[in-house]
Amino acid sequence: MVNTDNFLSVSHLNISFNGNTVIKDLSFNIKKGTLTSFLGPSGSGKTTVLRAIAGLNQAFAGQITLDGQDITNLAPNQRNIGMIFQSYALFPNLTVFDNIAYGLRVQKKPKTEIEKAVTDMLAIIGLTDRRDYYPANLSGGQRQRVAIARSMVLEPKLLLLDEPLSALDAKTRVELRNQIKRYQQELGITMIFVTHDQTEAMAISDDVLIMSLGELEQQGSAMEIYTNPKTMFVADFIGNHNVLAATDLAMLGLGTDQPDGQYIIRPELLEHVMPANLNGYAPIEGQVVEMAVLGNRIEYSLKTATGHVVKAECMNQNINFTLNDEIKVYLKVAEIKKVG
Amino acid sequence: MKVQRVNKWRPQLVITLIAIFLLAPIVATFFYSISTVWVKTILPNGLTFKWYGVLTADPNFIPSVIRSLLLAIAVVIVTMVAFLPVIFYANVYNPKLKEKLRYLSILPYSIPGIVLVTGLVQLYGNVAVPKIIILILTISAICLPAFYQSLNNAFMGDDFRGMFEQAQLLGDSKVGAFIRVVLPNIRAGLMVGLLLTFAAAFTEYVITNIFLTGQYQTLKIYMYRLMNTNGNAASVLTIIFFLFLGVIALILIKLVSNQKRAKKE
Repeated sequence: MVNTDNFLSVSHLNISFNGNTVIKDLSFNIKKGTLTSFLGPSGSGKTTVLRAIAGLNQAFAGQITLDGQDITNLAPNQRNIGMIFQSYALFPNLTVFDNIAYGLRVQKKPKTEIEKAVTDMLAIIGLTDRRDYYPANLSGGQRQRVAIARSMVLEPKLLLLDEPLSALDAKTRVELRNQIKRYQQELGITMIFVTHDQTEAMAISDDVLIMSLGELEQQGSAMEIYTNPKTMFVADFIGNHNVLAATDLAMLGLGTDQPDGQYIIRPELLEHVMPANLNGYAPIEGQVVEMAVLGNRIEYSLKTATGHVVKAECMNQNINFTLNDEIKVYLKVAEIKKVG
Repeated sequence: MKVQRVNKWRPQLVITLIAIFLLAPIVATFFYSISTVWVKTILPNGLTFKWYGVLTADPNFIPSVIRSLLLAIAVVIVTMVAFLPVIFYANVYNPKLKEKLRYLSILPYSIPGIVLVTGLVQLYGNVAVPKIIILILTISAICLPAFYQSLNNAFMGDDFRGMFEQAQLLGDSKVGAFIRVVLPNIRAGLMVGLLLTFAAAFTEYVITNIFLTGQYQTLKIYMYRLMNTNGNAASVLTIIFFLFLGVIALILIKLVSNQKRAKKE
């Protein structure tokens, strides 16, 4: 029986191009029915891994199994894996209907069945009235939905999305990413979503897989990765954390008995209102040397007497500070987390 | 605001002069082809369509047309089968190869035809392959620049690699994806390239004449031979040639303007 925990299993994947190793001994599992994000900066190898899973890049060492079947050496058209490209790759010579019907026609499904499946799909993506349009006459968001429908209509075992939102404006991005999450939950499709945007990854994923330079840095839920980064790279990439060494903590009066290593302090944990009970809290005093209004929040950079610059993020409420103010913020010492 | 008046007649005068310069020989040839006798007089002595009859009744005429057609069709097939996949591959998968192809496609322009033929005769003259096959391959290679350029333009703009791969992910085979997704989207560029290739192969003269030492009499060779024996009939043939190429040019113009309109939409 197939264990749903390793519905997709990639083991010891190694990929090199022209002698450069792009993916180094990468292994991970993906659970059935979940949405997993591959998160990492450009050049971290996310898309390369995705293409290997899809079978578009067959020059690699390692093994890939999907739903208990070894697919390592299967051609792309035999894997039952859908993929959404960054460019959407809609067929410009075909209408919306014909684009979505493409895969069903290749499978030589009966006409009535194709008509029904595509019509249903058009209703799901809300483009019933655009069925006879050509891709050139659609907006970016509509094209995106057609691309998703074209893959989903074949009910793939796995749907891969390669930075599918990067060409859209900020508002459409948020709308579409919520829609993708909804499709995923309603249809129960296992999805892998590649992105370099931390917020996007955390907002929609059940699981996040962080990559850097072809290696897996950490895999876990968004909360786990955000609050407990395992490596310095993750700590640095995932949020706007303060990263301090044990000696810095001691200088700031945040504990002297910490073992050597790097520690993170999340800026939103620094409170500028004095807690009712100071038990377990430590104050940090400093001068506001930089501030950025982020909308609902304000980020302050405080320069302490010891010369450290500490970032604090506060809700944008009535009590706001200005540059050069001497302020005091409070931190629950137990919230200081060691990296690793 | 003062609108600057553009002198309209000056560019038009230049265009008119060029048009007269280019059309005069064709008009003269046409009148020569329908003249009875036109020697030592300003105007022809009389008009007749006799030469059209003479030409089409010549037993060498139709076979020459057929030979030229066969040659051109063979070249088009070689171009389709051999060069189209290579240009697709270079454009979609291997841009480095594109650089090399660009260089290769300039070569036929930079080497004079006569040098090329001399080289061909020396290299392949004694090879045990029918010379006609070598001729077809050579003309295909010489026609490559026009075909290459038309297709290169066709591959610009759309994400053909993504489309080709997407079709495969949707269950199609490589060949199926190429036929159903790639070909329809380069149709206009492909047609332009093939028509240019066809026209160039149909009118090829230097290589065919020297390499096969005139044994394979194409329409163009027939035309040059006719000039020495019957000037009037030769001008009839010139007019027919002109009309034929004119039709191809019109189709090309139509294709290219349709393509532009489609891109705008």
